[in-house]
Amino acid sequence: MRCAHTIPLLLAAVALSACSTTEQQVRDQIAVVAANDIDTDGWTGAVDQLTAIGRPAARQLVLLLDPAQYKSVRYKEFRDEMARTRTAAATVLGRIRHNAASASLDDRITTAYWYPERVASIHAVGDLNWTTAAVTALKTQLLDKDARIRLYAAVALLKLGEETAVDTIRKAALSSEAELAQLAASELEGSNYHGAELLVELSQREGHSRERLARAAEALKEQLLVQLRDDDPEVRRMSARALGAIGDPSVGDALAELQDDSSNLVRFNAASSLSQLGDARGTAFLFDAVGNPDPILRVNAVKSLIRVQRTSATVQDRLIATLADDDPYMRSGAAQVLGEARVAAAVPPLLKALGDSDSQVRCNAAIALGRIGAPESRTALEQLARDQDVDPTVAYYAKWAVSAFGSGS
Amino acid sequence: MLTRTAKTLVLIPALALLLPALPAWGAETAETVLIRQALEKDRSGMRRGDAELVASAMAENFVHYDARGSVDPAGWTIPHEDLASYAGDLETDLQARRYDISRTVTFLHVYKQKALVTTVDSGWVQDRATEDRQPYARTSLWTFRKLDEEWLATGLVSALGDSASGPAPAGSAAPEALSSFLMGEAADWTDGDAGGVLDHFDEEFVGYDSYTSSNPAKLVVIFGNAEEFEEWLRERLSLVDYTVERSVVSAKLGAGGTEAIAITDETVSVAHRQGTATSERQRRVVWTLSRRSGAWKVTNMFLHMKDWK
Repeated sequence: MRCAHTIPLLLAAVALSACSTTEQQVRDQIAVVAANDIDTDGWTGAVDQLTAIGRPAARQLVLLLDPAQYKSVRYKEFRDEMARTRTAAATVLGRIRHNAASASLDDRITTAYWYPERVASIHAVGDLNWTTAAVTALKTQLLDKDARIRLYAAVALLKLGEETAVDTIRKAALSSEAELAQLAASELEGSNYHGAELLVELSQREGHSRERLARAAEALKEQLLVQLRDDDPEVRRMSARALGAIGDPSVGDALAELQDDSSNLVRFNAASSLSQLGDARGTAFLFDAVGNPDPILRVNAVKSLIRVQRTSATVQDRLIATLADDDPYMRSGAAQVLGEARVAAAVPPLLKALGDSDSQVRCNAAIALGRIGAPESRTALEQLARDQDVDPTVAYYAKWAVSAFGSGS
Repeated sequence: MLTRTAKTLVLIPALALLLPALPAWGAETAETVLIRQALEKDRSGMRRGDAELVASAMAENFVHYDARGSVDPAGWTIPHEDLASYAGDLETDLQARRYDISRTVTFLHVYKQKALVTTVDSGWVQDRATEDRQPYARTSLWTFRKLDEEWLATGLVSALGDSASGPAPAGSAAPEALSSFLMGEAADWTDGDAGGVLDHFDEEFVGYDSYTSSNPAKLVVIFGNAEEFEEWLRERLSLVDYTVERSVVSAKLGAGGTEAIAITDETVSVAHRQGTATSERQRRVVWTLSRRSGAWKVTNMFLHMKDWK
């Protein structure tokens, strides 16, 4: 009986002692960052240590960001010490993806803070979850006088999935100011999978920074290949997807290995990228999945094929041929992809598919024709809308497709 | 006869009428309401000619500094070193003059059991004998301490000027004892002697950082008492080596010689033991000191004050 009471107490004591030890470790490392100039070995080492501690360090690091906390035991007499500790705190919070720090970081990116603090905070905001406040704060920085700050903010927005500032990045990357162009290449390289597509686009343009951008794309490719083995399926998924945009067929085998991944989304993104690269292994995987009885796999396959068709058009002929497949799932999926990807060449076989024996195929063919909007399909769709199909859904979508043409067309 | 709680309950709604005067940055709390209550006692006592009511808002160790229209502490004097002398002079003044004043609280910063307040009073002061009426406008800086659930003023800097008032004339040289006290404190920093440094501070001392602003509303309490200061100092001196080169710019003592205000200019350099970074800055520090207990002790330390030179 006594033992039953003692064990939880002991466990609590051990937990408390562990907390206190971690808190002390964090304090020790904060003292080290305060004692070393930013980007020196000492400072970087302490930042790495804090990153390794991870989430348990977050509370103490968030406090460092708040100027109102610089009192009592946290008082700092020297502004440069504050800059060293705040820059470290922002860097670590971004690296450990501590989303709860987003609000504190948003406030740190204004001109009231020193340059390294601002830059570290902008980087960190880009690494955290999308929030309206974060996006608003970053967009404000797009008006900053300093082109570098505008670039950092634009890349952070890109990492948040906001493409509104892509032109700011393009402008910097193609700038005649060599230092700014170099910085843009470096920022895109550091933006991980988010910047892959843009980096590839820019590295294919003529200009003095082309070589630097190509090097950045190559370095990013290597990073993405490593990330294909990351523990986090989201990192594997995004890396696989970005490798498709990089467009180097040599990554095919690494992507093909992901076709046995435990995550559906990783498998489909790897297959789409393979298919984008013209690798038959990816295309075969996606077409197999279109005919799968599992509706989730079919939806993933259709979404992936839409992306492949839109970005590389490597599957167009096979999609059109699939409209004549024996399997209605295959015919239905092909019609969906052809419509979403607006493939005008598919109009004749889609018109034929309006008379398919399977009502789902007829529905998807009607929707596809509505999306493509080819005038030659209007009469057939109007006819289908008027006639009473055995499946009322078909007539409904035929009407929708006609309305999608617009009243004047 | 109303109890103290009942009086408070009656006063709080009345004081709430003053709330719009507090800028939007500060949410009203129970503590700020109580501080306003103390300030209202002072104002109300002035209006009614009741020095006792005014004194009831003040702590026993209350000190009155007269800024004489200057924001530069080099020009400040200490006309009253304790509450008794302040209340005595006030009573005489209130017998001779009638104050018709209203008060706006322009800044109110509470830190644990300590608070810093600025007020702007305006209205009229009338000579009771001649009935001569003069406009009255005065900015004051107050320090408060919470004692037994009651906020009491520990310091009043009256007739505070604004930045347009510029530098005060050079202050008088510090008496030898005071000068060596302050130089000794600097030497203890350089020696890394935390105990030595702490010996110079009163238990209830308050440390402020003005971040080189001349605006009292920018003052931030950084240490609420010597215990907090000690906790910071011991850790700090275990991590950093200090060199403090100090010169005592000026000092003024009250008439009784128990209270003083001093200004030092110093170069503070630090070298971190856990890294290669060094920091250095020039700073002006304003000190209020007291030797009521026998030896001089720092009662307030205002770091990084604006240098008006």
